[in-house]
Amino acid sequence: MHISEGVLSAPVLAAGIILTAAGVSLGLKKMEYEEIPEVAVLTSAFFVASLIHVPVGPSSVHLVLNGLLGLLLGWPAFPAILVGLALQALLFQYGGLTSLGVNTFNMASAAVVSFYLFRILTRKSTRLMLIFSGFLCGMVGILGAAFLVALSLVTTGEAFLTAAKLIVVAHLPVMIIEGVITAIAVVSLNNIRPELLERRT
Amino acid sequence: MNTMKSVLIASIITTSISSFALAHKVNLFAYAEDGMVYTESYFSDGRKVVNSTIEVFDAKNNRLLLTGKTDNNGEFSFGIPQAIGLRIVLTASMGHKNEYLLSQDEVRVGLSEEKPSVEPTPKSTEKEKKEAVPESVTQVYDRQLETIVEEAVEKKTAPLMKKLTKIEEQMHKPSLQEILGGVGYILGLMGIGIYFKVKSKH
Repeated sequence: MHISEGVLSAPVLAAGIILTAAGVSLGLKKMEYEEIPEVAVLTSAFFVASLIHVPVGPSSVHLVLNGLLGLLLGWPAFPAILVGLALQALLFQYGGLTSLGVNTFNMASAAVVSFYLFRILTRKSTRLMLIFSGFLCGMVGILGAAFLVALSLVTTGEAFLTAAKLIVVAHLPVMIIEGVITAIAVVSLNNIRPELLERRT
Repeated sequence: MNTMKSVLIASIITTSISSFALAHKVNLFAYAEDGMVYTESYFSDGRKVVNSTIEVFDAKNNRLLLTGKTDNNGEFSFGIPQAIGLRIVLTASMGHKNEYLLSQDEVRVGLSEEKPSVEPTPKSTEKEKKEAVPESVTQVYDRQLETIVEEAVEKKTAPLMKKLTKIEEQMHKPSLQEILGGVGYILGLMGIGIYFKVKSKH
């Protein structure tokens, strides 16, 4: 998911920075004073999630959690993911500073999409509905990000359809695990702190 | 028919998973020895980078010298083209890329190892006079000794080299301190955010 430095061309990098800047400013504007600690906690979760590898078959996967971030935060997912990715780039050289704009946009816009798709479903709904929408939300976060990564790589000469297929297939196990984790998180949040799911409009 | 289809799909999925990156970083490590440059590539979780392109450039003027593909162990080796600094670039799938700079000195050392010098040392000539052995015999003896020593040293250093590569691999993995440091930064940013929101409220 993290595109390295020196892969993308300058126009793509610039477009990523501009789109991310717009998303981050909108996210900061929409962020209420009371939400700041919640945003920080979820940023930490996002930052750490990418570092923990879970072995699956011959390979290993890691969580991204962008679907959960989007569902709980909405637009403030943009500054949250920007901070998480910036720290990953600075501390572990994952991705890169020049590709930070593109990487943030790829993951955060998928997060915002899952926010608009699933926030209604998770509000005051039955347990089964919560599990279902939580699972889909986690999957959509990964799927959307994978789709956007493929789109960003088109300009490097990788044909879009093959790149997209490859990335989506490679992320199938992550999508399923992410869906399960998001569903568990949504259900338990609904039991412990239902206001986290209901507050935003 | 149906089972065959599902087996096929399953194998396609597993092979594509195993050969493509889910990790977020590729690492590349190279060293020169015996007139060859050996490279090893692996993802941040330690998996080998298989069947990915390696390009070798002249470090000074960025001229492309040669290209190749990593094998099933993520390794690729090539003969040293010239005694110059080399920039080795690895391009894996899904936007993963990294490079390794092999300095001119390292390349030179790797080249000089290729042809072991056979000049007799002054010590041996002294010995020669004392023992009055024909010159050619000592020369052969010296050469043999040299190859024996070289082989022995190589045998001893090979595991060391492997260990060094392992350590390099380990160093690229995130440590607990770094993770905690990152969380600390986020908490600090939270404080700054709260500070400014409170200020704008009043």
